[in-house]
Amino acid sequence: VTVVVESREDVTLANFRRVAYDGESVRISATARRAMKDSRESFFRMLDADPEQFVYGVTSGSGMWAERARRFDGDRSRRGVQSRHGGAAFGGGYLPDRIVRGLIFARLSSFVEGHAKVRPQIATELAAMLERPLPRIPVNGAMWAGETIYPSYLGDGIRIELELGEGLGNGSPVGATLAADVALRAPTRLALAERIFCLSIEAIAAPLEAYDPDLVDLWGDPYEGRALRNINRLLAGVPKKGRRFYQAPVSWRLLPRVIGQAHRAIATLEEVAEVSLRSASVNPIYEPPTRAHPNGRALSNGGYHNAMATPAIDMLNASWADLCTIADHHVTKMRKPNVSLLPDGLRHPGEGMGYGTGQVGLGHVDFVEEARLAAQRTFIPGAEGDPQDDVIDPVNLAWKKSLRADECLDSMLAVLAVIASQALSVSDRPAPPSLRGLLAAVRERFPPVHETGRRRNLGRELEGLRDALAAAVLAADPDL
Amino acid sequence: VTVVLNDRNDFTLDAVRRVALDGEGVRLSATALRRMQRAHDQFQRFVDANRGIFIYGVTSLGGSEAARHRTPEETLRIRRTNKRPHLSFSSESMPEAAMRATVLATLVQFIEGNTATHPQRAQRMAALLDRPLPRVPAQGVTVPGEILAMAHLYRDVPQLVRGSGHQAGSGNGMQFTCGMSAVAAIQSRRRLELVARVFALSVEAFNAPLAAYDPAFKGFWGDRYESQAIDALNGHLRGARTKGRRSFQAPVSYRVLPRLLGQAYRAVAALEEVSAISMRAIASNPAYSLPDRRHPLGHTFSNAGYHNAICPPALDNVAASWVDMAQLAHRHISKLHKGETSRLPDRLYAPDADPATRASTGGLDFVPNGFIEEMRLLAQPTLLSSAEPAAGEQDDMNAPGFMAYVKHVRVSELLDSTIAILAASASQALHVTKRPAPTALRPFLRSIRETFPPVETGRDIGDDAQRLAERFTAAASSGDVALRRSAS
Repeated sequence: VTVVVESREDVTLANFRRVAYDGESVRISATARRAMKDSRESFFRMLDADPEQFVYGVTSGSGMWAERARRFDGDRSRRGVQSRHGGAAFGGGYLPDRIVRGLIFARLSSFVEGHAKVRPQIATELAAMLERPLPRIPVNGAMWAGETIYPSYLGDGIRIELELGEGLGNGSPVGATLAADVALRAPTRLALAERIFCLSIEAIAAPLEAYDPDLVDLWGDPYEGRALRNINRLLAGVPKKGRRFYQAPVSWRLLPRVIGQAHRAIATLEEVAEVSLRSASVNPIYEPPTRAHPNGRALSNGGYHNAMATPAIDMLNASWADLCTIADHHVTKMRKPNVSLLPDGLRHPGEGMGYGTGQVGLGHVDFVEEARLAAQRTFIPGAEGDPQDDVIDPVNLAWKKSLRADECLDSMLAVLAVIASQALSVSDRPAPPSLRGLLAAVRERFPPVHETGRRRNLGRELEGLRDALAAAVLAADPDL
Repeated sequence: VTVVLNDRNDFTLDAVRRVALDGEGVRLSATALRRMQRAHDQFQRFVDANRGIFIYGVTSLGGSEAARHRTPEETLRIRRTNKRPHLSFSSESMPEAAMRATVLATLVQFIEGNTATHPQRAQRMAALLDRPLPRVPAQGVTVPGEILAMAHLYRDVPQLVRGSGHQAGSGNGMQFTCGMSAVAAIQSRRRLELVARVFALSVEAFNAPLAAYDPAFKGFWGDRYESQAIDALNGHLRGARTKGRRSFQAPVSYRVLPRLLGQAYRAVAALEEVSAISMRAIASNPAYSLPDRRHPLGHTFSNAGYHNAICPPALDNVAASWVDMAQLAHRHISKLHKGETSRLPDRLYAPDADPATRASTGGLDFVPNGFIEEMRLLAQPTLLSSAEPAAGEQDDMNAPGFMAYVKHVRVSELLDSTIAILAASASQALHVTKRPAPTALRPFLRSIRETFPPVETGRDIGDDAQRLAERFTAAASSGDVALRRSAS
């Protein structure tokens, strides 16, 4: 299956998923190729008409040397040092293939309507790159003004030389790609969290009134409303009688509010990703001919700095940290019989006196604390690149933190799922009907703990469950 | 002038502006009072018919005592006798405006009857706005819900007025977070308008090419908030000369301005949205749903109405944006003083000044360093505390609203300080190069120079910068972001 790109409007989040996650191909339409060809021709007409005008990187040097003027001499094939040598990033492994594929796709939005004044062959070469082994892009050592470093590696994968005014690095396809990557994975992860928290609600037999559908209107927030509806759907069919007779601890009651905020953070991130993917962000940007500017015009600008992706990723990281904290409280409280009203030690009837869950639920606090670290804000760095390139784009830092935040949340959800499973097992109660499949999948990887039976490596089982949750996120399968 | 409150739709950000920042009072409409009385009476019938069930605060006491069932009469007797003591203390106080907004946000919980609050209590609450409010400590109030701060603000309003019966929560909500966020939202919008003016002045002072702010970028980038930033900058730069500007592109810190400013517009809009939603939310624990066909006497539900999870992240997000704005402003300040980059007179000394006696804004470029580092620390996210808040294990999650707001206020003041230095530096750059401000900004520049005149001879310019920063902070409250009113 192939995604056809005719204009920037085709560079959507849905198509990003198809290309980056599902491995689909990309074809540049004839219309787009014509637009790029026409644009490059009119760009050179503009230069012929005024060979001394400032066009960054064409009639000037780059970066700190932007002041150095160079008259356009008619040579369209001139190349610079950056097109001859590879990038200088290193460390931290390499970007996953899904990111490199996404970056190639996101790069096209500045190209296909002629704003980057590149030849159509560059775009078709980029699309062809998706059919071959991808360039390897180091994760670290890649923060600079703009986002030039990651996309410059795409030059390793194309088979033609870049010519005057053509570049792969300038613009903000990285912010778009990383925002899209987090935005695509977040909804399933939150859906998983909702399911496991609902399992926890049932495990402690929390009163259902904290999730009363009337709250949708009383609170009036669409995302809290979404959380309340999801919780009620997942808890449909649970017994109304025999529940805890007084209100559950705050950490159970505030679930619809904190989950609602996570839905809000995801919605913001999705919007940011959509806007970023289809923006033409290259510097300089070439505006094809208009009535006011018959040869078009080149505008020097700061499009290479995506200022909205980083905060949007940060906010989701903060939501994940909060969910980790709530999961920790649930785990701790379920193990306290005076609070949870569950059997002491979460032990099955007649089994011993110690920890009924072994060491599960004892050592997980590092995931919570690491999630809190990963949620720290990502500001524009105080460090100044050079006098001209003096604001560094931090988006890859936010994205790296998001990977850790994801892992911490998956880990905490695995621990909570196991503790909830144990609570239901020791009190001989079923999961809510819609969560029975999930509970079975949890128990397949981590059966309830008994005092007797084969010796188990509980940590390894938990890790297996955590990995299964992470895989479910990528597969968009929140029911495991 | 008085704001008349009839139902939850009257609790808007504009009402907050009038009550909290402009000092207007409020009046509950006759319809609203009748509705509250009816709901209060219905709730008594509901309690009579449901004496055996759990109704938080009615058949139980609060917090960790919720597990023990009591008769409604017993809880009523205890509540009439017990007064909430002041427990919190701090040398800093919550701003009066934010507390006025909190009183307003308390009334939304009452107005449609969902807390079964007696109308006289609602009127006593509304009357708080007719006189100076009790002092509320700015620290020591973070708890699950907002109960500790209530003891201070509602000191003069009894939980149960004479003749009233049971109520459902009646104040056990998130009104502080709502009120504080709403005031912050209004002030943030105003502060942003002021910041945009100062940055536009900096663009002109630097003589930056205008291409980076071309309206065509609205279409290229396609983001409505970046479009607002571009429109604001172009509006302020109206009348700027187009010839004779720097011949090559300005440093990145000038070119990324519309994008970072756009993110600030996005953050402020998000804060306005959640504040507006929260101001009209009825969020009380417990809440009382009025009688309907399914529940002829109504029904109650214990819930987390006291925990606002949407305003603190929005406050944090604006604070983070302020950090980036301040960092960008500091870059501009440094670059304006750095002749080799700016092509302006180095350190902004007048070119013909005597080296022995010359003076400029030079040296002020050091001052924001401490402001920004403090901002970076304070603008970290206000996450849920992982700690168990206290002995009672039932109330196990703190509400983050107070923390987020107090940090936001401080970060905002530090932004004002940094922006004041940028305004002074831009003014100096225009002065030493004998250039005017863009037409649209000339009154603004004049007003800045009233407080911080161009520097020609040595003086304590830090004092001037502080006064300018204080004017900026005051403008965020008064709305005079164009500084039309004289400094005197």
